[in-house]
Amino acid sequence: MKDIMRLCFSLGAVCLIGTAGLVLVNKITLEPREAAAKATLMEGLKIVLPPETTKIAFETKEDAEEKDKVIVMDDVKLYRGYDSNGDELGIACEASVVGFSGPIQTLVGINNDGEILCVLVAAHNETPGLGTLVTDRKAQKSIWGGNEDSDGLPPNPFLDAFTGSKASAPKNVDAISGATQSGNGVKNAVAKACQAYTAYKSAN
Amino acid sequence: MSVLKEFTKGIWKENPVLVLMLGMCPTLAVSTSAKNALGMGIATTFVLAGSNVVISWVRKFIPSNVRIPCYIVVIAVFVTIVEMLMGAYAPAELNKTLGIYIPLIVVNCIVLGRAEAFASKNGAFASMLDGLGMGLGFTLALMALGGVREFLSAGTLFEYVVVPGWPDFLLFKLPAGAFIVLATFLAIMNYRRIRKAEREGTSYTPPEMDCSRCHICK
Repeated sequence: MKDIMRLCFSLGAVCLIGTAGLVLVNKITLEPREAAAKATLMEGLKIVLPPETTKIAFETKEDAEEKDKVIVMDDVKLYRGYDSNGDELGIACEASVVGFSGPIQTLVGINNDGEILCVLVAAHNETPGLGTLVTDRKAQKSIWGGNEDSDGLPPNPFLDAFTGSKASAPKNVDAISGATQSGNGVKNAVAKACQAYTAYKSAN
Repeated sequence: MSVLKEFTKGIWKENPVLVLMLGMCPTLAVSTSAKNALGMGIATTFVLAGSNVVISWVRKFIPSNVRIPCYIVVIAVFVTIVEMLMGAYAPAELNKTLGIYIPLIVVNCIVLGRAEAFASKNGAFASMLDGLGMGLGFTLALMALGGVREFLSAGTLFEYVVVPGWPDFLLFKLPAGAFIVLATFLAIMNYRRIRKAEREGTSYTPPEMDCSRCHICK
């Protein structure tokens, strides 16, 4: 009995010290992590919205002006993009759906005509080399040169297939071998974003 | 054992992937390209060296009956702390490149394997060298596998086109290709070792597979 108590105490002590360490590090790094995540999100929103966008509504405070507020529809966040004259150019929708390993945070840019401009995965935990086939945009370079025109957004055939389709009926894109579940996650996230966008537009 | 030997044994003689057969799960899953292999290797080396040092420090306070759960807690805490610190302070590009490999390390049995086989019996400095050597060996083996798979599947290396117009050979990107390439590597390694043993007039016994060094079922 004494032995069992000793073992329990040792394991408990290791767990407690570990938890205390995690709580401490979590507390210290919470703000910088949130700031880094916000910066990554902002960068993604700029990519999916029309290039003329100069201001993105990013306010979550209750007393903020209506024009500056983020709209939340069925857990999808809608960020409105404005040009320098204050005219709305389009909406970027942020939707998260579980893929193969954890949520895939997907951004969908939609212009005023309800057309999908760009789909981008801002954060995910998919398997590198398999799930990332449908999430990452990579520019292909050659060791033989000819890499000059690699500026701009790198292509991803799966994500680019959504471009141009209407948000009211997003295109049904084929799955990619090795990334079926991740692809379904992205597809469902795009569908969820488009649904929220359509619901918002029909309500306004 | 000299300091240098502690470090170099993991690279070739006791390579975790090709000789000790540890960490097969990430090896098969992440070796789809040389870049992925390098990212996973760097992240694992860092965690391996760090967790080996921590376990070496606490080894005297942990009763042997509960050592494995304790090591798992220590490794999981260490990995989570590294993940949080990277999310907060690492440049966005580095975090994006290496961040996705970090959660995979918690279940990487090389880390637990070295904690049990080495760090729990040796000092902090030797454990750190063992972790660095094993991590480097893991990285090199993973990069060799990843390089071959990436080249055969797409004709590229580190995402740079080497052979323009190479047909997409999806098999090598999928798990089946990982098994084929890994089996070929292991066959070559074993053939070399058997030949060497024959030349010396002995028989070949894979290291750490003869039960004399493992104490898990003691």
